[in-house]
Amino acid sequence: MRWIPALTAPLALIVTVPAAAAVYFTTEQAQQAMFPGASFAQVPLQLTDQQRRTMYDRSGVHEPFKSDRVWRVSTGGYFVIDEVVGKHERIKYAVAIGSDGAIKQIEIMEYRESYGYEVRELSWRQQFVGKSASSPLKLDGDIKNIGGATLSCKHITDGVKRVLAMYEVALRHSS
Amino acid sequence: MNRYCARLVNALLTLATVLLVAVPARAGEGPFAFIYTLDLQPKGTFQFEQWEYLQAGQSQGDYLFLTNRSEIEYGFKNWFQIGLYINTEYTYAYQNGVDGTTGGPGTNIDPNSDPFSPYSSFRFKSISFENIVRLMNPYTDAFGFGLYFEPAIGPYGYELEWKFLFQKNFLDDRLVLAANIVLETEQEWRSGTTEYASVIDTIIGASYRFADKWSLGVEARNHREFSGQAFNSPEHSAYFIGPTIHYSSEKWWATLGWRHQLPWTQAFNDDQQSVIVNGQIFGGEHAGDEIMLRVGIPFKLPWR
Repeated sequence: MRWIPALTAPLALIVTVPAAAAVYFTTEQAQQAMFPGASFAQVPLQLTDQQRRTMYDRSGVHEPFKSDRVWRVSTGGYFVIDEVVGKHERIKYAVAIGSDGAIKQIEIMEYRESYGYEVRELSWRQQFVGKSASSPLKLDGDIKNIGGATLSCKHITDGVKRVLAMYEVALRHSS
Repeated sequence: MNRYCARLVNALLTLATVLLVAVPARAGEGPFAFIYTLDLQPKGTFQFEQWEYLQAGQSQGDYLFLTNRSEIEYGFKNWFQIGLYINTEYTYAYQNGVDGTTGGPGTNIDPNSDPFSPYSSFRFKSISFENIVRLMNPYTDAFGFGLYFEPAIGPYGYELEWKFLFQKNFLDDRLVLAANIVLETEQEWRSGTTEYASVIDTIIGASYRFADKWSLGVEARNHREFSGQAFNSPEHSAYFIGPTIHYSSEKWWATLGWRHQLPWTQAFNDDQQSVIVNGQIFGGEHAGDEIMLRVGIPFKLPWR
């Protein structure tokens, strides 16, 4: 078989394209960005099967929720880290919940997708501020979609809804 | 392959090289080797994609038929993607026919030459223009649905291809079920004759993302070919099935798929029946195995 050298060019390109990390916040950086000057105490949270089922029923998110990433904030409220499925890897984000149970802020901590970086823009994240467990939190409903970033928008929206469901079933009455 | 074609292919690859080293990457790709999904390029973004499609093995002898497709895709809208392909073919055949003669798909043999001698060629096949419109989004609607249209023309014939694309996702979009219904009509000029054919392909598949960046799936195809360009009378129906593995990252992705022809072929006339061996059809139609490698490298123009 006669090989055509030109056809090997794309493979050479793949090897030479550098990878880029996209870690925007460590845990400590996110905590201080969302609750400046506060101290944080990790919550020894152990979710029951019933609580996890409620979280799934409300959000539809299958990705397991890691309950060891919840902190009580000295100035009131909670700081929660969660992950949802992205196009290629998982998207790591943080949610700041105020003492009234409403979202104070969300931040994208790690994002390694080819596109959809618009979810980091303040205008999109700002839509979540003030939302609570009783909010619809539905893409193309009370949360606007970003064309070309639909998968990320959808999964982050569902993820935040799950975090609020977790707050409702496990944290609200322990405050 | 003549000098003009070689220059054309090299020019496309050079263009891709220049663009890729200059700009950050963006992407949109599906997890299947043969099935189109509704993951289109976001508006204003490009992707270079290389296909290597190998059909190998007939009833006896040696047979390889490699189709190379070099493509630039562009997201015209978030729901509308266009693409321009350059298609080339490499064929090697030697006494692979059911009767021991040399032939098969991709061959263009002079009828006056020795039918038992080896044959090889590399040739420019065609240029094709792909259009995909996504009417329903699998991430926000109950299921995904889209239309595909691709005309292709070259020195050995032309093809018109329509596809209906279906997609349904489950489990946080890790599990993707997809189907394509493909209608194709073609006119091919080879071996001193003109052949008219039309095709209905039904391709279904499932793919599961079992780890970050990695998906594993299966794809199955029913291929029904008809004489004439208007699905005039059925020629044969053949079945293929095999696994697919997909790797994707921020900068590039690759998919490798293999389909084996199952011994379930039905022939609808004597000519077609004569090239079926152990339930598989060969002749000028098919090989025993189909292997597809697709590599995609998204990019964005530096001035956008």
